[in-house]
Amino acid sequence: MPSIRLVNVTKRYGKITAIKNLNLTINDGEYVCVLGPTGSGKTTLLKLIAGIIKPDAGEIYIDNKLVNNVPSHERNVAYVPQHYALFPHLKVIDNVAFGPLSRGFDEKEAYKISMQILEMMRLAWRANSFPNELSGGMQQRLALARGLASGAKILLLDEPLGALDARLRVELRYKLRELARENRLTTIHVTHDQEEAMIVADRIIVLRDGEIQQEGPPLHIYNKPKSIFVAHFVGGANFFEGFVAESDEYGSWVQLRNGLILRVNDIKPVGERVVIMVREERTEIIKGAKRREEINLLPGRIEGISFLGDFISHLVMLDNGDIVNSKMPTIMSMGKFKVGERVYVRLRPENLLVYSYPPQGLYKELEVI
Amino acid sequence: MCIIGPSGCGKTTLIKCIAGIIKPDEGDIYIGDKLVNDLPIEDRGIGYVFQEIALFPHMNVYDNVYYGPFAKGWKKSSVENLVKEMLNMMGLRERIKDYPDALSGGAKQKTAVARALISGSQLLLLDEPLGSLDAKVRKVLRYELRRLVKDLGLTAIHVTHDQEEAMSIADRIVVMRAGEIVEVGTPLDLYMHPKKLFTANFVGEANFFVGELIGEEENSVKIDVNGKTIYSTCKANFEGKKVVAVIRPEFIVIKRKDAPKEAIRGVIERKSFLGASVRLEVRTENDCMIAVKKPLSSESLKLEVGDQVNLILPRESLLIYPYPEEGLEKAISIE
Repeated sequence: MPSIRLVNVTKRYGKITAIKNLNLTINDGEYVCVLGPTGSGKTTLLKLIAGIIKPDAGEIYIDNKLVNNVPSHERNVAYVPQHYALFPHLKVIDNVAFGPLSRGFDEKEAYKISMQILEMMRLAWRANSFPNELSGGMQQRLALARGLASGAKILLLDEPLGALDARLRVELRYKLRELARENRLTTIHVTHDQEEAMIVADRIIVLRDGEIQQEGPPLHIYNKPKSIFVAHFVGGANFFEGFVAESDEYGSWVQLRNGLILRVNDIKPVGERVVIMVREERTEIIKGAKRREEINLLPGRIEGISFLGDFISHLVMLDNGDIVNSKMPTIMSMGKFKVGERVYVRLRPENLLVYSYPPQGLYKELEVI
Repeated sequence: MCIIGPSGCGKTTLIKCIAGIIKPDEGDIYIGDKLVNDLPIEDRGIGYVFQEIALFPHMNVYDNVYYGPFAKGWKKSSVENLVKEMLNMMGLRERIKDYPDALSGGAKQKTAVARALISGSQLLLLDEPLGSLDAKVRKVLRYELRRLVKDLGLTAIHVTHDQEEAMSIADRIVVMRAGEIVEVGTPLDLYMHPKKLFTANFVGEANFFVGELIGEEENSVKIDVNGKTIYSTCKANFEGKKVVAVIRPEFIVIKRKDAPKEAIRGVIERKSFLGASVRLEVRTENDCMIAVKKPLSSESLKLEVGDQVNLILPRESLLIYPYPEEGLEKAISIE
């Protein structure tokens, strides 16, 4: 069964180490997303597994077989690169049927499978066109269709939905997941889009500078990011700098800029510099000054409101100068607040994660740009 | 103003006409009150930013921005401060000596925006300005872009294929399809009360049901969908009985028990996690597949595939449209 294992794999390009001593196991039938910013080594990782490039150190196993020296076409993988190459002189359908035919399917069967895949990719109506007559998005879907038709049990996808319109991308990601399930494919899908990763993946691997920052099921990565980087990269997050003013057996009090105080459930050493993180949608804006005695109620002013569809995003400037982005479901917050209004932001201790202040500064840690 | 629409709808052609890169075959284009059909791009007073970031590779950030005014023969002393101010505003103060190669995609595109604006253009044309950037970077930059436009009091026309980007950045959105404007409205209007089925599908997610008007009750119309009656407070001010009912996934209420009679029973077939919310697909007793979105909470996380649930479609949130002549699928198709 197709499982993939990387043991202490390193890949260098000149002075740059693209993949650093990386260990990773991908199980049979698993759908894994590799998520990370540009330059994090995602594509390199995929190419190593595909056999397009060779590691400088370490071993790669497919089905428990060492494949370091096995050429790409003998690895049972279908690699769909970001910049795909289609056969320009073949029609759409023939591009897809190429794989099944070369694997010895009889013609009828090969074309039947190819047509089914084209239908799923919503390209059946262009079966008799040539690739250069298709839009960029269609070409990408065709490349994907061809990869699927190859019959390989391992699918390696580099930004497979990247060139598509946002709306189509949303539709196709559900299909992609279904397809991988139905055909029992082991899939590695590289993307920089965290929402896409959350939807399609059984497991997400967050990569940065050639190293795995964190891996786990989408929900876990989202709710319990191990680092500031992961918290920031996976989902909308607010960060506050502060230091631990007091600790007891249940938690700590953290003093933010200009004297605001937050209660957190982590027990941290007094005096430590920390960063507090809260997801945008785990914040709550409330009116009214009556409840001022309550803890973790931070006064501020609404600076901006933007409508996102199912959520409304509120930008609140706290009185201490910190900024909070608060996302609330549209049904609950529609028309409730005005720009310029004085409000309180409520941050429940159970929604706050605490990190040690990064040695190179918070700004540097958030700089995925 | 954002222009959105599927690939090939003409949004880029439109912005190129406004820029003067291409000429219309017919019709007039005015900037201010001035007919500009025959005015070359450089005299239209616009700043233009493309998706493909085009900076001079042999010049640092400062010189890239400085180049325009310099080429126009502006006085060096007056330009220097302006360039610095602009770069400060774009958060590029620390990068002014860097060459494009050393910059991230986001910083490059900010430099391109600074360069487009430095000559004092009041009209900024943006053609997929964030298209080549990572999703996360895009989200950060779109707010910066809007703030800049508002702070400088500019008019901006921004072409994008990303509906969410358009919603969060625009005062108004133009929805295009096949070279025509489908509708124009504020993000809220387009989302809450789309005039066209196409818009309902293209802007945000929506459920569509084909049904038949079967009467009225109090302030609502009754619609039969595969043998189940649903209600809408919309006025059916059109001819014909065949309708399309539309509801956004997040407006649907899920109840496990104590559901009212009109609730639709179903079984959860799929569950996926969107970050701030959970999305479910429910196969209903009347054989519809209904998408439902719920904010992430301890409650919504307990909903599992295979669970029996009752769906309530609040009548105030259910929109109705006459059944389109060309059929539903064609009417909402994004290709």
